[in-house]
Amino acid sequence: MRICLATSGAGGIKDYVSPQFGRCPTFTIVDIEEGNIRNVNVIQNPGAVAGSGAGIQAAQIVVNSGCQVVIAGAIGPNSYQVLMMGRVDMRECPPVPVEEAIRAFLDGKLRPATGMGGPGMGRGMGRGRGRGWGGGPY
Amino acid sequence: MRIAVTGGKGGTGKSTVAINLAWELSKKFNVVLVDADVECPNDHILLSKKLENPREEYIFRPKFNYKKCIRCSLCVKNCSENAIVMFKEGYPFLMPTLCSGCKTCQLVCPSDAIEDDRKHIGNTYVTPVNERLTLVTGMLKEGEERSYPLVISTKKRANELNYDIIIYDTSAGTGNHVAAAIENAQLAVVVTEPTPLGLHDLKMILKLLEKEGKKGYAVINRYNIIDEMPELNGIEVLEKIPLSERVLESYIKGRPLSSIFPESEESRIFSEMANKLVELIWQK
Amino acid sequence: MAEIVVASGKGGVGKSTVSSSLSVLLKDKNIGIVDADAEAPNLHIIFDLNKWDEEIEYKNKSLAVIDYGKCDNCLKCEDACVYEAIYHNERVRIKEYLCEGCGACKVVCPRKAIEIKSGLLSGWIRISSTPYGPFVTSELDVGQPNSGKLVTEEKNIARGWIREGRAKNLIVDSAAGIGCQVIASMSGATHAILVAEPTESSLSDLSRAYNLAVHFRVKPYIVINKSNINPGFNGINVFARENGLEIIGEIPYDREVPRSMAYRRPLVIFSPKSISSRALMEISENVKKFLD
Repeated sequence: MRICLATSGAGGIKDYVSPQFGRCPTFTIVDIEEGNIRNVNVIQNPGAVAGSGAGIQAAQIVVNSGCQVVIAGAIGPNSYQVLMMGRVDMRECPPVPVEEAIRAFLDGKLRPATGMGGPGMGRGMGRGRGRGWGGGPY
Repeated sequence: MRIAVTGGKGGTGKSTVAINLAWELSKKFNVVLVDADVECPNDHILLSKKLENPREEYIFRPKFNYKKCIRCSLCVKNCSENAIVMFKEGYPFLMPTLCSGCKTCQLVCPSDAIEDDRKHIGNTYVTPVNERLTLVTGMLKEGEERSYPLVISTKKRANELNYDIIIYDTSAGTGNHVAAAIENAQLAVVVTEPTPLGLHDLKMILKLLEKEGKKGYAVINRYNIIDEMPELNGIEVLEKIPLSERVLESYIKGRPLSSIFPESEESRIFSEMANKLVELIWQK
Repeated sequence: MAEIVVASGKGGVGKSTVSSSLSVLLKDKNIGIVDADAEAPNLHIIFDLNKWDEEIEYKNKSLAVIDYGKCDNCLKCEDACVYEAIYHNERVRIKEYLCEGCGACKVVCPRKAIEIKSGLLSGWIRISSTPYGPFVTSELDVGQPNSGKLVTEEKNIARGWIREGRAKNLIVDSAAGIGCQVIASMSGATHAILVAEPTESSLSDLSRAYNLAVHFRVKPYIVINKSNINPGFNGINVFARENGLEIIGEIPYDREVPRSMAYRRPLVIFSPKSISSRALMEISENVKKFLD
């Protein structure tokens, strides 16, 4: 399976998961075979410097690169729609190292993204934050 | 004669001035009052009128004919809002909330594969107020982001009517939705209040008027709430209106000033304002 | 973490008065302050801010430019422009403030006489710190479209403060209306304080702002400002009751409010013993309850 992680720096498995999908500087794309990390590929995110529509450009690239899963801190509503159309499984994850995030995903610990975008996003009625995995740093 | 009533800051009294001015002028002329504050129109409330003659207004939205589409992706590349998406294997599809209705995709499509669809953005209304005064209102659909296209539709609807004088009551702010409401006017009445907030926004409106090549005249509302009148640079003062129980009452009751307080000082301010404006425009 | 948007629909009912004084009163809750009105920003005046720690140019504007050497005045561009940004008098001209750079004119021009320039400056984002927390404001050049996008940029900056630990809660002072700026203000907020005055006009606008809050799943509370100007009117209270909304405060009309603006101070700093300040203190106590 091919997993795309939004990464905060130069990318790669030592980098950290980016809190935001659309504007992150890089995507780290990883192939998983039999539970092991095979290829690691880093691509620049054209949406990082885009004015608006950043998320859409980013999402298109991710779909076109054949990823089945996307992992990021939060995914905004525009990216979410595009990734949905591209039938990509979207997961939220705190800003931990990429390797940890992949392990967490394979262990089934990452919750599905809501497409609401970020901290404090429309969880409706201000209920407890319960961000699931790792308790979250926000 | 075409007048815009604007101000920048919200709550300075634009609509109060607009409806009272329209009422005064309608004593001698046929007047159309355009409520171009399409996000939160209030003029009908200040005139105690129920909106009449609704018309649905639409903007263009593309509809893809996948039988004709050759997947050239020109529509995707030329959409300035990034509203059209196409994956490697697939056909283009629309992100509807991002589409601004500009039609560039349809114009650039080489195979006629983009057809006309439309999106409902709001309604316009034409409401007779008295024999010589008609109110044209735009009301944006809740959740619609862009008010600009509906301001254009509201102006178009007003131009279907006959009038001697048209008054455009703009929304608060200084963006394109306000610029559109001022575009066709010959001059602007800028309603402000004597606080630093009112004056800051007045400066921004003056910049806008300069861009649009319109002259502005200030009306200082509630001028006596501040002890010292600040300097008004760069604009001629047309009238000053005091904080007044009568203005408040007419606002609350939804009746023009001169209809409930005909001999009052406040009523006279508006008839003077009307006369001055008529003179100013006919001098041009 | 709470993101509180202060909205109203109607202009001039006291959003900035409430936002600024709440920011002062909630200082211990690690507040970040966002002036989410890019067209007519006012909060920096109430806080008497005129120096900025950072000023960022907003260069998102695209604009059509005509090459007069190639143009033959066929006017197909003027017909194609849905923004009414092209007109002619002797020459074909672009109203730069109305043009959104969509490129329709470029596509239809038979002489290829139009280019679209992008990355042009159309606004500024300004960041400062106040004694109550970090502060971000913006200004869109006049007559321009897309003020909502500038508000979204401000919110991204403010959410960065949260990630960096510079703030825990945000107060977002929205613009009047219910259009793109207000939508950008509400998107992602956790709570809304809807400010209304007791008039029909304000009630009409309140219900529109309320519907927006519901759509964005933001929990709404009501504040009635200038509460004594229309004694016979209980429309706001009825609206609140019918929709199950809590009224977290009522502020009577007070001349100290415009006076505090004239002196460029938040009301609760300028006139802490006034009736309006005391009402705001009650409101802040109610807000503290839902912040915890």
